Amino acid sequence: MAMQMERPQAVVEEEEDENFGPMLVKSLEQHGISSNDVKKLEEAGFYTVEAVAYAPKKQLINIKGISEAKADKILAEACKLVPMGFTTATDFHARRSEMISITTGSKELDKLLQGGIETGSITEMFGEFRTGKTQLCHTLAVTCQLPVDQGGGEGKCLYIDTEGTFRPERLIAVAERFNLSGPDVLDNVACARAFNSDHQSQLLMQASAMMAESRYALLIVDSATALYRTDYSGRGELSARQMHLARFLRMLLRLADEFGISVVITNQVVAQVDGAAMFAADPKKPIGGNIMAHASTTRLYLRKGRGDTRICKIYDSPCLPEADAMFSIGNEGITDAKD
Amino acid sequence: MTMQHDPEQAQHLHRWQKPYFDGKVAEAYPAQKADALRGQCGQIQYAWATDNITELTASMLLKQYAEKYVNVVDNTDGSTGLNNYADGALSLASGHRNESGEWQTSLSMDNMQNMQGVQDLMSASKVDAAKMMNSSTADIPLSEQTASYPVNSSTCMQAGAAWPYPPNSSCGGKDPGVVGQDIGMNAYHQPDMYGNMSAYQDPNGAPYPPPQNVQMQMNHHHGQPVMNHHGPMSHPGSMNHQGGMSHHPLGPQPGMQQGMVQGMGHPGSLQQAASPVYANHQNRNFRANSAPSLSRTSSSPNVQGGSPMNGYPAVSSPSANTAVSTPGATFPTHPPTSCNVPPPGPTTIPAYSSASNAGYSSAPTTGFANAQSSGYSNAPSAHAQSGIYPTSASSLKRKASSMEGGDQNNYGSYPYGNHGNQYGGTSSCRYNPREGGNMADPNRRDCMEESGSTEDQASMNFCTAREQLAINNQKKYGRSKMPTPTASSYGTVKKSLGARPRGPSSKFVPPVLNKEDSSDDGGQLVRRAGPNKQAGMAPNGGEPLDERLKNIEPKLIEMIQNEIMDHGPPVSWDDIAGLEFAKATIKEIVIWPMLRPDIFKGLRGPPKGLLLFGPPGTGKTLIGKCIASQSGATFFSISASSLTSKWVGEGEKLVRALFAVARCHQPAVVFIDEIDSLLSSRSDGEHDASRRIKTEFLVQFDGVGTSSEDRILIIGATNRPQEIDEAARRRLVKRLYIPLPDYPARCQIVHSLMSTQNHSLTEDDISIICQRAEGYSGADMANLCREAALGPIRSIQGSDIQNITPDQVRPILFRDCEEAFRHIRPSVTQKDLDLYVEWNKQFGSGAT
Repeated sequence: MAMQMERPQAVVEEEEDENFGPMLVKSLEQHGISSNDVKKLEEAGFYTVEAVAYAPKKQLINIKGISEAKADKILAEACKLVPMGFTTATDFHARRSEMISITTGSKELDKLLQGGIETGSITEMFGEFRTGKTQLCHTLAVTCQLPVDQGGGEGKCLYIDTEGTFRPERLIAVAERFNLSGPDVLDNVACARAFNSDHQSQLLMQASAMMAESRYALLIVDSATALYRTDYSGRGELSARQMHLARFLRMLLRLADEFGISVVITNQVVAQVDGAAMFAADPKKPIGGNIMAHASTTRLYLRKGRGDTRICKIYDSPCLPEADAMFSIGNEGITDAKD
Repeated sequence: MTMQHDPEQAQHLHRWQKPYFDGKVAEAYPAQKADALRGQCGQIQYAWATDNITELTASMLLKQYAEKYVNVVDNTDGSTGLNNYADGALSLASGHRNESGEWQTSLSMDNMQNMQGVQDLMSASKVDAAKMMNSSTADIPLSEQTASYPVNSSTCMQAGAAWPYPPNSSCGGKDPGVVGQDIGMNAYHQPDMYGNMSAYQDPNGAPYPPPQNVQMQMNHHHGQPVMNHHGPMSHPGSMNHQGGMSHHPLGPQPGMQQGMVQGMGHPGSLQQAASPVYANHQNRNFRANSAPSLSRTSSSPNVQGGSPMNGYPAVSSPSANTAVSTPGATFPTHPPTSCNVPPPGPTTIPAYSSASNAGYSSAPTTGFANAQSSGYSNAPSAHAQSGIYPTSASSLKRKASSMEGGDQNNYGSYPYGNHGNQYGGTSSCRYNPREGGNMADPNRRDCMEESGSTEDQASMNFCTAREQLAINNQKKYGRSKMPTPTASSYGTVKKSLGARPRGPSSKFVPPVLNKEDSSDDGGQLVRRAGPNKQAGMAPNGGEPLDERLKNIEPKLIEMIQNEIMDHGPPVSWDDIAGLEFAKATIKEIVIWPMLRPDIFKGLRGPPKGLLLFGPPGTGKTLIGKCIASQSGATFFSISASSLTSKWVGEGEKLVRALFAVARCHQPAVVFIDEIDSLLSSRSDGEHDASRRIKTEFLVQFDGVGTSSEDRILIIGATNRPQEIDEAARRRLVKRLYIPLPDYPARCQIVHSLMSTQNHSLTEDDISIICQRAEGYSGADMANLCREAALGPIRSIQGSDIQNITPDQVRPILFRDCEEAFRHIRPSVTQKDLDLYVEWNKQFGSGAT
């Protein structure tokens, strides 16, 4: 009840600082789109103008009550608001240089990633169990709330947990390290447990609604593929699985584009046990196949080092050199490896 | 609360104010209190809906009473509260039985079934729809049945219909005086949300005469078969839609439940206990007549739309419209105007509120999610026909029922979980599998967007990490504890509504703690030049980007920066007795260049190195301390440990880092005590690493890379000057001999040391002492005085030491000093002194 009583105040606050980041789809109303249509768009999950502009027309037509002509008009208006044409590399470079990177907590790892986890793109981390994937996720969930000058994103974190490994007490431990208030840190992390792959996709729909309401800096899916591994089995369902996975990843990419958040997903590995793999030194490969490989912008391969240390290797990246860095897992999350 | 209202409305106002000021509330049971407070909330809403009070007043009042209500419901203390909120939610999450006894034990299952009203109800539910039509002339069964119909949109009408039915409604007996009056008022004295719902219709002055009501109900029942045919056709939806509707009865259940309980005349604590029974009843009823229930849901919008056909005054809608639209102004994502809502719209609103608010607050628990999802699935089915957009409708709903939603949290916490579980397992905890798979299904998308768009609904799946932590703790520790509702196991888990944790969709709040050490930051600013500034030593917190530090590892820089002394003990030149020549020299090469850097440049530039040598205990280190506190330069206090490392080669890097950092912090003073340990003369037998440290030091001290503008002063202190490497000796340009204190200096030492103690020494005594102390160093003098000061203590008898007061201790006498001379001998021999004098003659810069 108190929740409801507080609601009007929260609403006022929301209205005050709504001018960050994405344009809400309501702003289309000032460009000749009727409020009815805007409402329909919102119902269909398009909360920002970017979402509308980036959506294929087919998707808009599928919305009930939006005809093809109307969809054309909406798209045209949205495209006017969202720059979607060509731009010079200079502009692009300037924009990229302003981009926030979220620190991982380890200087070595940050150096390897040239600042940290990039925003506006998907970063995939894969590796065996106990290689620090979940610990890195927990650390990022806290560091994304840091001020920008401390390597954070000044935003909330959305955590989708599929393996049941989300531990809020770890967040508190990490928060103490960064001298943050534990309860506030916890409040800024919205977590959900996904129970099957459909649910996992459905959570993203909610996520976009929540992101339209308040500032998020990071979306974590730990792990993105765990449920697919069991929900679909065998070669018979392979194509269905890959299609579903592709759609899921596409939604992640859309969120990253739309809200400029950084998306971090973890992935599991599979061991190659056939003959050819006998000669390979490290027969582990990330699962998800080519779809996963193409969807993630940066792929990091984590592997266990001596003791608490872990080794992160750039597996694929559009700009980072193929190198590795050592970090260590401690009580306070990801830290630099000790001597 | 100050209200402005028309005089003609004063009477009206008085009527709803009265129950509130009723003294009864204070000594009632918590359950009664809760009901009364909830009722008052409803009344406020009514008054607001009828424009008797302004929106502002209404919201103020609502807030006030809502908090009171929450205090009652949420309080763990059994005598004042119901402890009903978090326990229920969390125990559901962990599969526990509820542990708060007060609320549940008021009525057992058996008692319930024995009640007349319940039996009537159950029997009525078993008869089939046609019979129900016939029994419309009859009493409780009918009114209960109609009230319990899960027709989401017509609950209002039914509620309205149920109340003015005086012969049957036992609640009617409670308010006999108002039966003839306005019906809204009648309903509105009930502590119940139905009162609110019907209150929406009331202001139009459309009382429902009993006959008309009956007729309306009959129409409604008649309509069922017809609508049953229409249902599938008018729903383009699909089976999915139907599946959604099959959950329909879940949604309006709070309403039904309340309706039933009221019908029995048991407001308050009965309601909770009633719900399981009712759930059973509901199930049975539902399974037996699944077709009618479908038809009911599908016919609901039709009843709205066709209300005139039923003889139902449709004029109620505008007022309800205004009622709900006023608060909508604050809702951001949906336009506040309700002009889009067609007339039947408002009648759906209460129904939605009952449906979706059922699971409102406590996200992670299973039951809520069920109730919610079923509530949502109602929404599109109604919209499909009535043309109300789900979002707008639900946003209005939220406003309109901002009170009831909270009320029903309370109810929602118990029965819905049970109900959902009974419900054939078709719905899993937080995710409803009937919605799975088909993403394009509009029905489902509606549901999802609905749930995503608002805070309460978003919490269906997402919760904050704090809530997750609470649940984890509950799971982990909850089972091992004894089931005492006020046990400490709930102490951390229990949600406190006073400072409610933020939900998953609330704004981002920067978690950065307030920095109290901002004053330290001020001190950490780089002090460049600024010789006039007389602040303490200025360490550099950060300027790692300095060009000169670029090639040095940050860790080493940090190590060196830790050696910066920013607040040494305050020592003034006057604390150093004697040594006038040394003090003058140091002032000349340290202090003056700080004050006038413009004069001390070029040939007059200060020397880069200063060596203080002399026998131990003569004040070399004290001079260093004095420079640290007086010079205003960055003062590095370096010892051998600062510059050595276990790694080969690291020591050299540290030396390099030391000079690099010192260059960044100009003017800087590097004080190296016992410099012979670091810069002893190089020989064949020494280790490579120490040799490299020395050579690196010499290179950095004065080498190719150093510039004459650097304002770095190296001060070394040693009592083995002859061991210092010759190259280092060259670089330590000023070599000052710090001799033993002479007679006046010894007198000064004794004076200053004795001044803090009670003594009876005359000037003559002191001069005798000082003459006798020839050859004593400063440290020896201090020891002598200390020993003498212990004399009076030693003269105290052993047992008195515990009782004696400080002022009873006798002053220090001359004989104490004489006694002390027997114990304290000079630590420096003449042979040692000759060595220093010899070295001083050879290398020293002092004239003495």
